[in-house]
Amino acid sequence: MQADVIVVGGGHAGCEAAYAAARLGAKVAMFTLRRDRIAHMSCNPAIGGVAKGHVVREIDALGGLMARAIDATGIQFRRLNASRGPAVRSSRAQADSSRYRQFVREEIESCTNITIVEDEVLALLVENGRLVGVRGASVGSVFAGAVILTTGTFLSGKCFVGDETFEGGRVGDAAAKGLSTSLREIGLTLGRFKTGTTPRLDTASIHWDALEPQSGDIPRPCFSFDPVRNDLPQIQCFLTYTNEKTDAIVRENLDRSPLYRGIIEGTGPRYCPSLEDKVVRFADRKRHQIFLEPEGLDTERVYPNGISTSLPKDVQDRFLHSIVGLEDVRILEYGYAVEYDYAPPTQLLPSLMTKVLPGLFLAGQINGTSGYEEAAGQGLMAGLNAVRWMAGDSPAILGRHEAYIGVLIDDLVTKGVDEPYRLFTSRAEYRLILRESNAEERLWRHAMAWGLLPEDRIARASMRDTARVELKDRLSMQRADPAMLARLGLTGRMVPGSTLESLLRRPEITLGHLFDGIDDEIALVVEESVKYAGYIEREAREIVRMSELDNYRLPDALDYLAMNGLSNEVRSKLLAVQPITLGQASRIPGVTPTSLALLRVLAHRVVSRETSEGIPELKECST
Amino acid sequence: MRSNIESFADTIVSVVTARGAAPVAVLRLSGSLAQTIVREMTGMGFEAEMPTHKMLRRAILNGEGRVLDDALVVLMRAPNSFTGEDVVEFHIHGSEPVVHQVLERSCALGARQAGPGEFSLRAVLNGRMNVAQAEAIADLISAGSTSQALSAAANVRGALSKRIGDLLARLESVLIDWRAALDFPDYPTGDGATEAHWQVLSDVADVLSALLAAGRPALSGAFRVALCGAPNVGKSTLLNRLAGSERVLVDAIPGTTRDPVEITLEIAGTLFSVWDTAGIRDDAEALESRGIEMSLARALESDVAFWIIDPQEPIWPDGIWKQAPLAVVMGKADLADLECAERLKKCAYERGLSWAGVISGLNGDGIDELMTSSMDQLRICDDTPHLRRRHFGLIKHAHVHVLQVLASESLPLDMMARDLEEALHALGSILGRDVEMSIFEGIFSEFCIGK
Repeated sequence: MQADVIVVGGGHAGCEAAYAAARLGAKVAMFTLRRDRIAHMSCNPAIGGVAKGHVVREIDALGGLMARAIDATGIQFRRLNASRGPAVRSSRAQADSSRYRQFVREEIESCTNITIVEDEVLALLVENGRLVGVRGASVGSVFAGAVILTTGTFLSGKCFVGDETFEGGRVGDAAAKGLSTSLREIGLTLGRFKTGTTPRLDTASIHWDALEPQSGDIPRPCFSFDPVRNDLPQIQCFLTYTNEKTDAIVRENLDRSPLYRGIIEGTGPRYCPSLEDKVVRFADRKRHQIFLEPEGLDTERVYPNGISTSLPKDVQDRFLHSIVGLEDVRILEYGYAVEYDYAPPTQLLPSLMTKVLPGLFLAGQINGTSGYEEAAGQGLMAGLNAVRWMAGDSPAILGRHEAYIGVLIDDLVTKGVDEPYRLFTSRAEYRLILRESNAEERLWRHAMAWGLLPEDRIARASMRDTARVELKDRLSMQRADPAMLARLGLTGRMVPGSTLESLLRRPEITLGHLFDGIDDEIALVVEESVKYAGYIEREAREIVRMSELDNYRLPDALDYLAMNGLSNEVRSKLLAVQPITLGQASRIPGVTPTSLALLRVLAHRVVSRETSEGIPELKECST
Repeated sequence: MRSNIESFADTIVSVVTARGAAPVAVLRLSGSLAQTIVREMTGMGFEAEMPTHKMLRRAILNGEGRVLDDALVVLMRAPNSFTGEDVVEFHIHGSEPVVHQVLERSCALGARQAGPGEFSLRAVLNGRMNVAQAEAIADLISAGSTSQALSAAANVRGALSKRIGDLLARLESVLIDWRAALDFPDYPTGDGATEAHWQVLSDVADVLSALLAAGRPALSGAFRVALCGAPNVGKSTLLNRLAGSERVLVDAIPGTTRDPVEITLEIAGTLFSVWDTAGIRDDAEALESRGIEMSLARALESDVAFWIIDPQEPIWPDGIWKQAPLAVVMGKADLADLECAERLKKCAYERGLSWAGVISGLNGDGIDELMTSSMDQLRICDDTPHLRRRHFGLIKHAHVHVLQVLASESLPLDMMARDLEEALHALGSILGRDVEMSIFEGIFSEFCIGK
């Protein structure tokens, strides 16, 4: 069997990788252990949230799947942080998880150049130091120019429930065991991370009447910039709390928790602590909240958000029964912890290609991240870059000022991870420029240039862009007459002849006051850019200041060890990351301004010797 | 993550002549803003073409149009200059207040204090020097970084670092609450700004403005010397000797000096700023003990703190005083013999203190030697004023942004958090601390967040 690109894994990263590569015309073989688990939500049945919603919008602007899938199959949509500032406004939606899987699978299946291969990949095929494909357990050798690994928690996955330990990437699914060996053989270092999930509850056994409901927002926020049809009924989630009795039960049984018995060696994420962790680390809290989230319209499964655990089954039963509304609850699937191999991501180039083996790309949890959205964003970029690499094109890299996906990947390859990585808005230094509202404005030209958008989408994106520009022009050209000021109650506070833009800067004025019939999305993005112009300009100035460094390409073969004057610590850090640009070097923790100045002189010396002129060569970095 | 580096693209400024009192000082500006800055500073206007490589006589004006100095100004237009960029040099009078004000003015107009070797670095990068010269510059920078590290450590030791650290912690506690609320709205992370937060912010703003007020004299570029020790050991007598006049009230009753008194003097071409401080006693009454607190602060901020002891009744520093850059001086040499001095010197070494010498305030013996020998030691960290100015700028930046938060009650929480982050990053870079890391740590240790 022969393909252009092999994608190993059918999760959120794998699907976006396969879809993007296929969009660019590559013949894709997508390996998955089970076709019916494609785009499965292994943990909570929700997409989006603060910073994550931003990524979903970016994926949509880049022609990906995730936004359309959740728009079509969401059963509760919420707007978060609506009044807390433009950068942190985010959308979040509960999914009907089985319809979500179905939507994505059908999209993948409808791509004629994607072949789904239901098989386990045992090893990479490397000939004379060159990657040529993979070996499947039953299909045998499959050849391709590039391979993208999106193995999630399956790489040597091991699950823990109390005293029980079993191999698996997820409850009910086998682990991928052979591949780790293969990765070590090509020279990748692997580490071990841990994550966990909650028990799943039977909806019929929950006393819903006793609980506090939480509804979605009307109008529903959408993730895709294109309208997507969704006629599904919208549901409520419900809120309950642990109590002191719950705490006591957990505490009494800590010695039976694999986490506290030291059986689990992997590092877990601090922002996603298990109930055991919460009880120990936050002993002073009287209660912890639990959102009960139905996993879909037709399923009996309910996801209790807030109580991930790997305690033994009998303890899970007992502590759940101590909670209001869950006194008689039946557990359909017990909570568990899962430990898996990841490859520390400083071993990657910003294209997500490994430094040790050209043609091998990694995306998603294998890079030490967590979250469907983070995985999907990486998958898309890996799919895109795999095809570009085969065609000999320069890598497609999103800057930190262009996308959260850019922040994510730059953080991974520059700083590495010491716990499963997730995005926060505070990780983005230019977060006022990276808003959920303006993802398409930021990215559609890139997407078009990279070939990720179909013709009809380009037409719509371009139309929306024109509408934004026209609206901005109107605001800066049109002036308020006395009648308008009177109507807005601004007589005496603004001078007649002020631009509408300056009126809009006032906190009490919205675009709706000035014009009728403007599309909501376009109104929002323009209004934010006017109201917060001062802050946005500050970020823009900082971007210009940094761009000189980000455009300064370091020579490929810098001998960091021979650089006298740099401290050993800085030398070893530069050696490990091998930054592509001076800007990337500046973001490596521990690289001081002085060592950066020195690095620049030394790099200049190398370049001067190469070009035997005295003038430094400033190359544009591809973006 | 924020990159904490200084750009190569902005305009830099520095005094390029040796420091200390000299008839003329030369200030060099290099970068794209150099011409704009010189036009602003001299009121030259933009109509006339400024001649290159020609010396002009111009008045230098401050922000209000008042004349700061009568100067010679020369523009060397790119690329025909030392750095290959537009370079402007001001030849101004060498008095420290003038130099300081002209420097401050060019910074206010967009220039940044140059780092060690930075003009040469630019010359290299712009192809104005060859590769062999570049190697020399690389050595210079790495050497610069050691001495810079030394003086940075010296500078942020003790009082300043403690105070900045304390302000950082207070601002961080607010930002942790706000960022937790912003990034985790679904968890019990609070609703943002509370009364307690406003209180912290306004307290911090007060401390920052006090620091700025106190920092101004420190920018004069003089070496700062504090005279301290137990009461009545002869600190004020020494100061008077130095000043050559009865500037300080000298009295035989212990505890006369309640407020630190400062004089500025020049010895062998170097400026010294000398503080007399209140004598240190345990039984001091309230007013005096406040004076002692100020003495301590002065000692901690000085370049050297002479701890003066009475040979007949030696009292040694302990506790927090040991964090000051102490050097022991035996006073009242007229009352003791050489043997006594040797014995005390040994005692000082045993206590881990350095020894600076023997003086007599009464007849003036040993005073000039004391000042010049300490000056030689202080020359090691010659770029302290550079760092001080940098700190001053950062504190000012932090202050502006804290005030902006306080003034922005009607703005959304995230915008306030942005300004607060600016302030934190400015203070954090004084101490070289990674603020983002501690914010993340703080959020996850204070809030129980997670599915």
